[in-house]
Amino acid sequence: MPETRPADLRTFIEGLRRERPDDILELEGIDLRYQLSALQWKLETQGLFPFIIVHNAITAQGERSKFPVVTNMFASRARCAWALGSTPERVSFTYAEKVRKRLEPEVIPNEKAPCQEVVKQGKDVNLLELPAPIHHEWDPAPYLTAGFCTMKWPDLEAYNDGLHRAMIRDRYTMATFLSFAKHNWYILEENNRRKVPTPVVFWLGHHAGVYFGAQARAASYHDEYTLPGAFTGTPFRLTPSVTWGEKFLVPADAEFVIEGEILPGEEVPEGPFGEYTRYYGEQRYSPLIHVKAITHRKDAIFQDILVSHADNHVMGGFPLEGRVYESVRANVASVRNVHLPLSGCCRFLCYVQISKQTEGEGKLAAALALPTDSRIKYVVVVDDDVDIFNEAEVLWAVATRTKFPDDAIIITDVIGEGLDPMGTDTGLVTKVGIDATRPIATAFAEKVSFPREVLAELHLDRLVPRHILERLPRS
Amino acid sequence: MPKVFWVRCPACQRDYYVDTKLKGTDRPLLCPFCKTTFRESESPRVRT
Repeated sequence: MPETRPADLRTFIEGLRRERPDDILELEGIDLRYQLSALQWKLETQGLFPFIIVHNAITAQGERSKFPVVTNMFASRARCAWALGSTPERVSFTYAEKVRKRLEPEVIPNEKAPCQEVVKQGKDVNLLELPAPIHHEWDPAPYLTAGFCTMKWPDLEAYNDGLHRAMIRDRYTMATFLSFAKHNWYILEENNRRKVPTPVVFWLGHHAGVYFGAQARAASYHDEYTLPGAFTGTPFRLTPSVTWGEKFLVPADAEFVIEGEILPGEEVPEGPFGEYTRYYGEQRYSPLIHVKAITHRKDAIFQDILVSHADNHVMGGFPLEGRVYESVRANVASVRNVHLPLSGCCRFLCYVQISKQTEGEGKLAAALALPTDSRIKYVVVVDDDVDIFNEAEVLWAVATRTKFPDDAIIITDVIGEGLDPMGTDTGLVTKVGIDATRPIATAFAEKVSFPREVLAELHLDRLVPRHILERLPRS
Repeated sequence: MPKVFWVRCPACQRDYYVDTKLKGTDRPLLCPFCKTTFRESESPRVRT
C-alpha cells in the first residue's frame, strides 16, 4: 500500500492543478511594494479570487526574490470548501465535525523535516531575505501575514497557535501584535509576570487544511497541535526546533519556520497596519521578537495573506461558522446553518438559520451565538425559507419579520475585538441579536408564490430570445 | 474615550493615528511614511 504523503503546501497546489486548474493565476515580476495587494483588490472588485503564484517577485528591498510567493489561497469560499472536502453551503457542519475529531501529531527527527533543509542561526539570520509584501500605504514595513505564532503554555506540554501579523524591522528583529485577552496574550502576560523570556515560533506556508485546523480554538491550556491533522486527514508532523530542541516542537512540513524569543516587557512601535476590518489599526507598542533561527525548505515557497481582503476574511470566517454552529446546536436542535458574510469581514455579522419549532427559539439562538467569539457583534436569526447566503433575503426577513424592541437582544459594554474601530479604549462593544423569524404561535402573512406546475414549465429562453435576454437591464 | 489620537510627523508633515494608551507618555513614535522617530511633544499637530 503506498505511503500517504503528509499534507503540505505542495500537495495543496498539486491538488489544485489537478482538480481546479482555472483557480490558478501565475505571474512574473510583480512588485511586493503595494502592487501585488492592489492587484488583489482590483481582481476582487471584478469578483475574481484566483490563487496567485508570483515568480521572481520584486521584494521590499527592490531585489528579485529567490522564493516564489503565493497569496489569495483563501479568497474563494468555494476553493476553501473544496480544500476541506466540503461545499460552500456545508462549511459550518464540516468544520464543527473536524474539530471534534482530534488527531495526535507525529514527531519526526530533524534530518527528515523538510522545514529544516536550510538552517540559518545567529549572525546568518536575515529576515530581510523573506519576500514579505508591503500591502497598504500606511503600513510602515513589510509584514508576515500568513504566519502562525506558536507559544507554549507555561509548565505544560501544550502549544497555542494564533495567526498574527509580524512587522519586519531589520535582519534580526520583528514586532508582533497580540490581541488583548487571547491565549497567546495570556501566555506572554504570565511569562512577563515571572520575568522569563517567551519562546515564540512563526511558521508559514502550509496546506489550506492545516491553516483552517490551526485557526480552530482549543480550550485554554489544551494543545492546539492536535487540531490541524483532522483537517487534512494526515497526522500533523512536528520536529524539534533548532533553538530549543524537543522542548519546543515546530511544524515539520511548513515552508518557513522562524524561531525567536520575546524578552519580558520589551515593546516597540508597531503599525499602523491595514487590518481585516478594512481600516488601519492604530500604531501601538507591541512585543519585540529577537529571531534566533530561520529554517526553510531548499526550494521554499513564501505564503502571504492580504489581510484587508477576502483572502483573510474567508479564512477567519470558517472557524467561526463551525463554532457558532456548535454553540447554537447545544441548545437549539433546530439550527440548520450558519454564515458569516464578507460584508461583515466574516467576523462581525453572523446569520443563523433555524427550522423554528416554538416561540423563543430565534432569540435563544441569537443569545447563544453572540458570546461565541468576541468579534461577533450582530447575529440575525432567520427561518429556513430564507437563504442565508443571499444577503438581500436576510435583510428582507429583518425588514418584514421583526418588531423592535421585542425582537432584539442588546448587550452593552462586553469585551469586543481590539481592532473594531467602534470599540472603546478599553475594548468594550455593544452586541445585538435580532430574531427575524416569523411568529408561529399567532397567524402570520404568507409569502407570495406561483403554481408549482407553472414554474416547472417556465423556461426563460423559450419565451424570450437569448439576444434580448442578454441586453435587458440587470438592475 | 476614543481609541486613537492623530499625530503629525515633524519631518514629513503627514498625519496618522496612534493608540490612545500612548497619549501623554511621550514614548517614541515611528512615522510610517518617512520612518522618522519622534515624540508626541515634537509633533506639530496632535488631535483627538
